Amino acid sequence: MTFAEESYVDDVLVPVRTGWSPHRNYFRVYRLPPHPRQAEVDAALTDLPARWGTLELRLHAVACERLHACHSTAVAVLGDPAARTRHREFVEQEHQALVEVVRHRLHGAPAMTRDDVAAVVRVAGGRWSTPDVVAALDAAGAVVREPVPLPRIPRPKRWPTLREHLADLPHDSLWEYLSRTAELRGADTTPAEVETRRQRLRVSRDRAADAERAVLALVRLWAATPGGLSAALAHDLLAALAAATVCGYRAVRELATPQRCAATLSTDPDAVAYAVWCAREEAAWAETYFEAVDAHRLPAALDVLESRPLPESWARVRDGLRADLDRLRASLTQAREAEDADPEDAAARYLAIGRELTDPAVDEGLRRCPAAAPPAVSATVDGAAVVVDWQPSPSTAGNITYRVCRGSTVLSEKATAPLVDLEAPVGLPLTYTVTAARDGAPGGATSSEPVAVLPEVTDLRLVTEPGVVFGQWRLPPGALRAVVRRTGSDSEVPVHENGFTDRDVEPWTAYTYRVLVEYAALRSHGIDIPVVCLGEPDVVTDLLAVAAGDVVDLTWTPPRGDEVEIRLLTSPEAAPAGVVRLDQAAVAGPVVATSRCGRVRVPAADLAGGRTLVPVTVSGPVATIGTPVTVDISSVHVTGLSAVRLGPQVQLSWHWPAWAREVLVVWRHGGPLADPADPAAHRWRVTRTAYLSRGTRLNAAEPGSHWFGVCVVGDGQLGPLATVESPCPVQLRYRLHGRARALAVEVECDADLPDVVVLGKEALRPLAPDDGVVLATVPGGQRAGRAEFTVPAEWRGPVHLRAFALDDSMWVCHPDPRDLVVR
Amino acid sequence: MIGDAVICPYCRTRCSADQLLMSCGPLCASAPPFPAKTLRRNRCPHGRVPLARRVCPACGRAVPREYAEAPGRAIVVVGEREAGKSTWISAAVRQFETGEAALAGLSLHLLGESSRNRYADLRTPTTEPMLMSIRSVSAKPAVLALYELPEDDCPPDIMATAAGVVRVIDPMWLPGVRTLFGLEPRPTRPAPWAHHVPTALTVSKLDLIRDMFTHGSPLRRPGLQDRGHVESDSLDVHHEVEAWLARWGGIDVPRDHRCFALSAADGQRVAEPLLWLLSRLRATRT
Repeated sequence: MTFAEESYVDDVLVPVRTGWSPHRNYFRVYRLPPHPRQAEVDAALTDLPARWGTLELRLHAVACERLHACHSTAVAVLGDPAARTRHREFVEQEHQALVEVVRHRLHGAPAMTRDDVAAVVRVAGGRWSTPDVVAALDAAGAVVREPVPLPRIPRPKRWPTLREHLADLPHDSLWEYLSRTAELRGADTTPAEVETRRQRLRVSRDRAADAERAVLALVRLWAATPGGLSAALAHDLLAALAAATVCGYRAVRELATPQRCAATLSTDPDAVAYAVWCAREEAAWAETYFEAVDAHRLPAALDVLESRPLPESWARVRDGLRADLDRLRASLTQAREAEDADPEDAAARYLAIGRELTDPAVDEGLRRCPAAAPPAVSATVDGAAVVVDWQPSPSTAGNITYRVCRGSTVLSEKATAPLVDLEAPVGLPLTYTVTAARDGAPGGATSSEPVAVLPEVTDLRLVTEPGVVFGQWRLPPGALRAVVRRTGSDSEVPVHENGFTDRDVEPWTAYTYRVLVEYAALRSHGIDIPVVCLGEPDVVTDLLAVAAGDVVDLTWTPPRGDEVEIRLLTSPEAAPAGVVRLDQAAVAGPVVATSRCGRVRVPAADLAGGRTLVPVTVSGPVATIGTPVTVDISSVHVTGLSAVRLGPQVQLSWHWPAWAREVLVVWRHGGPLADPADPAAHRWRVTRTAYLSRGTRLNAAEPGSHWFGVCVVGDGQLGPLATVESPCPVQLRYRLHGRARALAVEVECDADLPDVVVLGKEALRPLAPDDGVVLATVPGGQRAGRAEFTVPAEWRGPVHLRAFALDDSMWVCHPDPRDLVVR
Repeated sequence: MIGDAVICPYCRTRCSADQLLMSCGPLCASAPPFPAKTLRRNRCPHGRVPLARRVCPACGRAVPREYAEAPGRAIVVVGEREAGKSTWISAAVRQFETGEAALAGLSLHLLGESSRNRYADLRTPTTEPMLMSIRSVSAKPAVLALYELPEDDCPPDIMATAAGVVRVIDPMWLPGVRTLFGLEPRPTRPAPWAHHVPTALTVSKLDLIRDMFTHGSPLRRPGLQDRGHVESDSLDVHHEVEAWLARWGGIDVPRDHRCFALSAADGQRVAEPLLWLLSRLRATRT
């Protein structure tokens, strides 16, 4: 048997030195099995004491001396078989006790880590050694085994939200929800499948549907990043397993199903369960640590790590955290030193530190470096609102916002100017203060000059009647009363509740009234409104109405009065004389125009055929009816006169002016029309009805120019003559004769003939000189001509013939259409 | 009316003239209508003179007496939207009432309140017919039921009873004219109806295209409406318009047709399509 000095030190010497009595287990001290042979006993009793004095064990002199002191007793016990048996029974009882301890600590687990074994040994105070514990584990059906390393998965974003919503669903975990929900495929769920499920839920309106929609939103968030959903499911599994550790290893193992472990961690479920079981103590304080780190409470996080022995991986974390904390504290010191020289720089440093560390010193430092006040603040009244504007604070470090106060009332906190105060109290002086803030820490403040919201009266209206001016308005809310002043008067005009009646005025005099609003402490600027006090209206006696085309020009001398209404006189007998009420004047007829300047143009169509107009001078509620006149239509004339030649006839058309019922049509041949009485002209009276029924057509077949004129006949007079010219082309006549398809054409004309061609075409009539086959040509130059031709026999069906003059100005008169078709 | 049969102009129900319902006069209180064949010596069942109006037994609408007694014929006026159908009907009626056609000894009377209302509101699309009686010297009056219908939505029952068709063609729709005016071409479509009755292919809005024709063209001449239907002038116009339609393209020409061109704005040749149809239907003298 080899002697392992290192394990002997750990198992025997150290416990003996720290107070464990060697008499409790001689088998252990002398490295004997439970049932040694006598030779083994003798050898051990001889060999071990010799080793206690060796150089290797001399470092444990105290323990060795204690062993030496016990050696004689040990020899007596071990050397006597009966005593040895009794001692073995005692040791066996100790072993059974240890087995119970180990079973308790295993809590159903299949193994224990070396650290756990060492912990048992350490806690037992030397009562049991590591081999004792290993033997007890063996007796309990367990082994010493290290767990597989599990990946450290950070908590997914908004994980607590998921837990809340899952509580409203019949699923305990994200895995269960994704695995058991139709349309979703566990860890392989895609964003498209999530969207499909969301669409299906659109029509549902209950708490569970709302919760599921929220869960799907989170799943979509995680599934959008590669590996995001797997990480969330792994976190889901590990968190569930960690929570199950309080129920024992069996509960953890049952929860770690093969499918779930394979889909999320790709690890054997036994290994996962054992790893989580071994890390159950770490999980408790690790949660505290991570919470502290998330909240930037780095000192607290460091305290968590420093307050317990740590495995190597966590020790590295602790050392790194300690270094970061030292760096940040050094930065705090630097920021503190920079406060006096450059507060903005110090504030920027504090803000940078604050992003990593939550520390009261950061907040205190920021309070010592406040944001500078806005350089200027202005307040402007705009109607019932006040617009508060300010220049930005020169401070730039951090998030600079502004708190706007009206007096002591906080109105808003915003990042940019301006602010519109829609609820400013009326009639009071108002001061606005803008305070700059850096990341919420208040800084310097600047106030505006006092302003006041003083709304004017609304719906202000002045009405004048002869010798009196009335005023009406509506007072704005908060006003006490209105004050009215008039030009030329030192005193105020007496007012009643919402108006005034001023009889202290002269007719036909201009005044300006100023209406102010009085508030509790101030008065408004007021509204100026000019008015001319009316007098009795003057009568219009010189109205002139002249029709010109489609309009009637009306002129008169503008009288003193409000305005002049031009009315179509329909009831002359009902029109009263003198100054009357306006409604009495209305019976004269409808208003066709209104003017103040003595001139107006009225569309003739507005007069609806009427011609008698009367001026009515209006002055407030009274009016004076003037002298009626009849529209002068002596100068009206037709417009748009045109002549369309229809063969030997000319069709005339024109636009009829209003009132015209009859026109005189005159026409002549060979020269222009001088006037309607031209002795060489023909005349024809055409009524409007006849024109509209049949139109106007005149025979004008003589070659050369024909002149046509139209003038309106009205009031026994003829109006201006409108004229138009229509030339009549020279006529060319021809006829065809012959038998079957052998034909001849004879042409004659009042002037020398142009060249004439006869065309032929199958089925359809030729329409132009190039629209067919030339069958014959009659040369020009004479007054008459003849040519013979034959229609080709191969032409089938009806053949249409037609002659054309090779001069477009000629008027070709064709014979009977039946003579122009050869069958 | 075909033989003794009367086709209701409103519901197109065919019945004999004797089956039309008549009503008692005011002295026969609330008596139900009775078939005309039950008249005894022109007296109602109560022995009194009945009202003159007759009622279709199917739709209950009053059939004017002239329509029931004279050989009433359905004339369908078809054309694209805004081709000028309503404008032509209005101008043609006016031409017969007060224009040149009246000088030819023809007169036109609208039959029934419904027809007068229809004439007063030609702009509203409807299948309501306009019943009219055209009288001429020494001839029986011709009674027509004029239906104005869009070309692509003609009720088959109306087309089946048509004795004549006036197809109004807006020249600005024809490909050749559009090319001439520099307008974008419009898709042409064949006429949805193969007309087997006399069809007046009528080019409207002649005033827009009049300058295209030579001085000698009949389309630059006034018509001879004051002489009624003049076959030689009509034939001249037919040959001319037919040649132009062939040149412009876009029109299917039915077998039994006559071409016309008119300007409702100028009153030029407005009555000619109707005069020709009346002539073809042997309703007036030629």
